[in-house]
Amino acid sequence: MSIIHDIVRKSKKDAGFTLQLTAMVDMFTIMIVFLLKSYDTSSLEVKNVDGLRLPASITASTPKESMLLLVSKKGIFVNDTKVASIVDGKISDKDITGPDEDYIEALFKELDKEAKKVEELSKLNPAIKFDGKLLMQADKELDYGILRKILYTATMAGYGDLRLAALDGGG
Amino acid sequence: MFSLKDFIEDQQEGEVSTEVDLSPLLALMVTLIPVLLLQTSFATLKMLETSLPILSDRVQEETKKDEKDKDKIDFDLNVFVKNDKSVVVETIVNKSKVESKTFKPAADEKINLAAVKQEILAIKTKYPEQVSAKVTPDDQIKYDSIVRLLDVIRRANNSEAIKYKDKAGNNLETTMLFPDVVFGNISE
Repeated sequence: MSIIHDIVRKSKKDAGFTLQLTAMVDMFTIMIVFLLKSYDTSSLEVKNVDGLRLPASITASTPKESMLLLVSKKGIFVNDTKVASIVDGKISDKDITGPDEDYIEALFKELDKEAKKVEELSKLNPAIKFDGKLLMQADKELDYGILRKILYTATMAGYGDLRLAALDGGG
Repeated sequence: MFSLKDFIEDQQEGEVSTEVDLSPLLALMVTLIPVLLLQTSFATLKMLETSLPILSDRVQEETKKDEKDKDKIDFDLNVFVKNDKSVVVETIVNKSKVESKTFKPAADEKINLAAVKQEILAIKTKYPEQVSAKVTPDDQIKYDSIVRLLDVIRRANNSEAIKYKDKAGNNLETTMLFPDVVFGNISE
């Protein structure tokens, strides 16, 4: 019994240095508090898409749940599905069919499909209504000409309540 | 194995460490930090609400919204942004054009937002109860410039708040200028 005790005591005496973790724990605590403060539970976030840099705005409104339309320098996306391509700042010719140059058929079809889904749901649950809300995240370098065509097509599908997403510009 | 007596003896001899073992706490933090880093959004998203003319019969309530506001004066604020970055601000009251001003681009060949802002503030001071404006940019105007212009049209700084009296004679103050912005040339 006493032999083991002695060995333990001896080993404790001979033990090397102990790592001082207090400073590191302090630093991590500060980091966790900062990260928890910045933690965002909203499903709406700035999408990390190549060719998408949002403009800044002083508006104070926070985004609400809406249909997400994303327009980067390379394409048009509806809820993460690419529906049309943008080449050299113009909508690809293959995506503009028919005599109306402002009408993007693939975009219309996708938006119409999403609207019909909501309409089907509203038949089952009258509390759900199609409200035509559209949140557009568009690259700040894009010309209004492109956006006008996109918005024109969106209005054809019944999306008239447009929200323009922007980064917080300190308003 | 160790009695209390041994422990006290060890402590008196300085052989027992009373330091808290921080290793488990550190392990927890090392796990938590990457999780939080992945979930955290460092850029705050904001939105500007605008309206578009409805070309579908899917949403019918929106188009009927203004029919009850018949007692209001017929007011239109039109802002045209030309490809050369000049801005035309036009006020139409009761179907007759009241004023139209053109603002040439600033020295840096960008939209002269400061001048446009002064004009918008002057119009809001004159018609404080009006809240809607129609913006009609040309096709080559960059989206970033349009958003900046919308900010100028929609909201003033706190120092530029407009003071006015409502119909009941109450003194009011607002920084909201013309928040209901509509794009004018979508269906052209």
